[in-house]
Amino acid sequence: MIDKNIDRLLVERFQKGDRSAFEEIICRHQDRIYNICRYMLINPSDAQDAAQEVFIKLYENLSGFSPSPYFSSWLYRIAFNTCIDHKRRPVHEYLNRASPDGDDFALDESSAPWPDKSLESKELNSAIFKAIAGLSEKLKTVILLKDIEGLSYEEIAEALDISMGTVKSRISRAREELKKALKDLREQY
Amino acid sequence: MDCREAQSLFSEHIDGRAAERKALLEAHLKDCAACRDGFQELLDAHEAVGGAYRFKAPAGFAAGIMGKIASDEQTGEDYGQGSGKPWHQKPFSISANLGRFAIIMVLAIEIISGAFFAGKFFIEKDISTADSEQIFASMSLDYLGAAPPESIAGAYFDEGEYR
Ligand SMILES: [Zn+2]
Repeated sequence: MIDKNIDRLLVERFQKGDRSAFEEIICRHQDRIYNICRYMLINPSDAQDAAQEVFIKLYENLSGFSPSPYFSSWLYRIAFNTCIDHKRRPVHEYLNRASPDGDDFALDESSAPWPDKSLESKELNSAIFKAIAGLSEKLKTVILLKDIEGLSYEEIAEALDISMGTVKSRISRAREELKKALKDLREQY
Repeated sequence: MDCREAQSLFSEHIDGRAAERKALLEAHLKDCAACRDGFQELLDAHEAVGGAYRFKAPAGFAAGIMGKIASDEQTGEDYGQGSGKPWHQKPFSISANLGRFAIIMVLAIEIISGAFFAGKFFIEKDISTADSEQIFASMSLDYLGAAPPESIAGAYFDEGEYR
């Protein structure tokens, strides 16, 4: 979990003019933000561009951020908006046009560092990535925040600016879809 | 509690949020094999998703951003309003560069075959660097049918990306 107190202190330091605090903020959140971008955009270089843009936007707007326990929710919101903008760019559609056999989702095997390097495990991991990445944007955003990043329903409502009821129903729908996707997959093997 | 109501609570039950209906749901699961199986499948999928990859930011990510901010501030970039930085100013803009390269190739092929705007485009636009994004945006995606190989999507999956 994210220690909110540390974020609050770092934001305060930054707002008092300490630039090194911003680098600490990046280091604290870069993996989570990159991961979100990776699942949203699938392609690693798009994810990197978008993640970078998220922190540039954060830098531009952080001086006006008022102290709030929802700093990380706010950062996630910037990330989703950035990814959705990124997707609307023609370049993205071009680069990410899925090949007919879905190879764009394939994880490179030569450098696969998963703990269990069996073929089955690689296939499963790749399938899970594909199942999550293949959800609609609305369902993907909630499931990334809930089941990958571990946010509470309240934090998700804040990050996505949706009601608790909507959070609840989207998480439920997302899980049903993932269940179906993973079941279909299991039947293939 | 009927099956329909039970199923509507599965997801919340996983998160420990079924609250006052929890006892009723558990009683139903005990008695109903179909719901029990359905719930178990949902739980299995939930666990699989929980074990999904967590990708890590590339090495040097934070330093790259700090470097970009410093150089933009030196050259008088205006931080504080909006974000619309041109792509060519971003470090690590590999996708943009590949896109630019690919589009120039496509344009070149079209020009050679004489099928693309009869060259008019090139008289009005300078394909150096800054305008390529615009050119790109102005083009129909149909022209981009020849998608690049998967090597682009699979570019640098390196060990450092997983956490
Ligand atoms: Zn039942």
